Amino acid sequence: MVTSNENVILKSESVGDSDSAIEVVELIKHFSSKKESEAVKAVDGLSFSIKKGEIFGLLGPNGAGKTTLIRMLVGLLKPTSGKFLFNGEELNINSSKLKNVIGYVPQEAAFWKDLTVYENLSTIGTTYKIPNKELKERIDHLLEGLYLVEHKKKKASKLSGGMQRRLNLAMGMVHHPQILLLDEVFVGLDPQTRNYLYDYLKDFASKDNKTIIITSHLMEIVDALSDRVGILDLGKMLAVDTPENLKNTHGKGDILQLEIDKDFDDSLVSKIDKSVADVSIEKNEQNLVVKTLNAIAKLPEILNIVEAEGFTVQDVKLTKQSLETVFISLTGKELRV
Amino acid sequence: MDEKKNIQNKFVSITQNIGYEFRTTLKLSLKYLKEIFRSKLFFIIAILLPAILMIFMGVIFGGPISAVQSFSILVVNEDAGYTNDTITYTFGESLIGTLETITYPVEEGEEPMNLFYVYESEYYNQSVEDYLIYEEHGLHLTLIIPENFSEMIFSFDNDITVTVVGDSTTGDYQSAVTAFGSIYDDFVGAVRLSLGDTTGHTIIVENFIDIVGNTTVFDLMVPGFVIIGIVMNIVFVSSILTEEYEQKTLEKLQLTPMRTIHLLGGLAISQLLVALVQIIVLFALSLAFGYNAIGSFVLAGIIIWIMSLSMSAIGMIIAAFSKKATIASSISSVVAIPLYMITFFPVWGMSTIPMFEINGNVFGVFDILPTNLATNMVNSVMIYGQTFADIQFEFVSLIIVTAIYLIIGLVLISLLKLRPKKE
Ligand SMILES: Nc1ncnc2c1ncn2[C@@H]1O[C@H](COP(=O)(O)OP(=O)(O)O)[C@@H](O)[C@H]1O
Ligand SMILES: [Mg+2]
Repeated sequence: MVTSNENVILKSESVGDSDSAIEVVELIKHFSSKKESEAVKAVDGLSFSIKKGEIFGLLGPNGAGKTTLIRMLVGLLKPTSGKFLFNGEELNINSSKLKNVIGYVPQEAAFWKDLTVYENLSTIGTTYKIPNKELKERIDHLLEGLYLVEHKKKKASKLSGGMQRRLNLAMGMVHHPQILLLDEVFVGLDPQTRNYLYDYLKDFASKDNKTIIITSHLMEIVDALSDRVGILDLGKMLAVDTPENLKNTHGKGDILQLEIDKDFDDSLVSKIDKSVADVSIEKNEQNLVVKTLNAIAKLPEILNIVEAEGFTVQDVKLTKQSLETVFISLTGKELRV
Repeated sequence: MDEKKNIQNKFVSITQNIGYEFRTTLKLSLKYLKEIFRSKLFFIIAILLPAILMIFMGVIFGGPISAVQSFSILVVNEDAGYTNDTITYTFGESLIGTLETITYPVEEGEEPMNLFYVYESEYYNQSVEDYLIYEEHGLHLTLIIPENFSEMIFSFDNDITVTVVGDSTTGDYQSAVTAFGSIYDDFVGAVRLSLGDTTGHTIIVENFIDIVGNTTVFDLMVPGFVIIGIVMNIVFVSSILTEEYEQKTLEKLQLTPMRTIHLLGGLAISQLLVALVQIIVLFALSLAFGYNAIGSFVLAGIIIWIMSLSMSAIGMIIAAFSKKATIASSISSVVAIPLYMITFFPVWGMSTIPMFEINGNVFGVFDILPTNLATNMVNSVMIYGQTFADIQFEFVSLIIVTAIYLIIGLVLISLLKLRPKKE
């Protein structure tokens, strides 16, 4: 297991790896602006690869560059520089080979408002070379799977927001793409549909080695769904690994954030560090950031020290060990802004 | 054996592929048809509006034309002048001046009326004749002053000839020629006298043009009304496509194997069906309001139908540059105005400016506007009973102009709307 893992890492350094579904090499996207200061480095030199058959979660706060990255991969946005390969090949964005392989579900639902649910799906489906009978079966299957059967004759504009998002999802999947890119598909769904979609994607990915790339700022879902996770912030990939490994290397323990009423200096930090066992502690502006296992148990002790030193704690925030804590320890800020 | 099978398989897969391409195009045209017919705006703008206009104008302009008191005359002055003893005489201009100044009293105390209203044209050819035909009720006579007119006046003892063109079947023409003849005689007599000569005669050569039936202003406007409806399709095409862009459904299509030609082909087919409905409804209405057509409705319909494709193409071109449907439809409305206004110019009288000529057929500057070509052709067919053979040149011109617009639309949409974006 370990050796094969190393293999992948070694291989991914040489471009053209046939084990990877997508390989991104030095990809850059800068949005220019008239004012120099407003130019955005939305994607800032990304290199990573996504293996065939895996669910790859792309985690990052709003504005991290997730949508920009995905839109470049599917060929809607022109990169400033860099390249990417599909199945080891650098395919032209207009090649029908690529278009048959890739499925994309955009962050914002897009569909023909005046067409019914079924008509929306069959219009998209017809553009692929799928025989009519099979196309119909696929659409019926999707409608069933996404609880849209009863609404298939409804005009899309008459659907609820959640249903519209499901239609949006179905439209990207009707051609059974080998590589599916989903941008924030869990947003705006009720918990029941979320769970359902979760199972559906797991099932979809498990069949014929399909690759799914899913962006989200919802770490619980990314954590549970993904085989590997890439953490993206300000256009840079901070870490790529399995959720387990990420938590073990970067996010050991829970994170306690204590907001102190007035300025404090390092003496408070070192005092806590000495008195309380197994903590790592940092000062972040008005906050004391404490990383430790089982933080709840240690909270009273810490509070006592702070008050003994003459400070008052105004707010306490506890984040249990999760991708969230990984993110905080990588960036020093919270994922949910 | 294997090779045969290979070829067979290849053939099957090729026909299958063609089948899929057609299926995509048809599916997209069906999509557009559904979207169009499900919108109420379509019926209002595309059918109701031109229909109401037509009914309104049918009632106002459908009747016979009242008799006139002054004559409208179109003068084509080709007189090159004549130089005698370093003085250049331009008697053509003098004749026009005379025609313009002759008045007759109406009633005591009132301003006297002009006997002639003079319009001038630089040259005479088929299009001026068309102009004369169209203007049958407003224009009574065309006078052509020849190049050697001044020279003829100086060559004493010789006769002096001018040509007039008009419709001999109308009483107005006869009166106009008589009135002109006496003024012309007086003018030449006076000029020759001033040059010290009293010989020679004036001669008027009459060229008659056939004007069939009792054409009304309404008749001349009918193609315009049918075409207005079709011109409005620019608004539909451009806003449907731009909406597709705005709503990001175009991105969805962009990621499928569909190509630009499928998309625009589908859209164009849907528009052809819409135009067919419009043409049938509006021509039927025109008949109900007394359209005096003697030509083939099928030929006229086909002409307008082809023209409708160029309107779709113009809509596509506008969509290529628009980011919002509201902007696209505003631009379209503005673009539509000259396109349908020009369809009424034959009624109002606008001369053709030639661009180039092939075998004596003039392609005018305004013929790059498909509505102009179509209106002229439909009038030629419906009012003057011309057949396909008579309008071949314009018909081919229309097809070429339409194809050019379509290609421009295709290229622009493909470049500006279906490529990876920079932003
Ligand atoms: N079309 C654009 N023009 C200018 N800036 C953009 C554009 N699209 C995105 N950005 C900027 O790029 C950054 C990344 O945006 P985005 O990819 O949408 O992030 P995410 O999907 O992770 O929330 C943001 O700062 C955003 O404002
Ligand atoms: Mg996004």
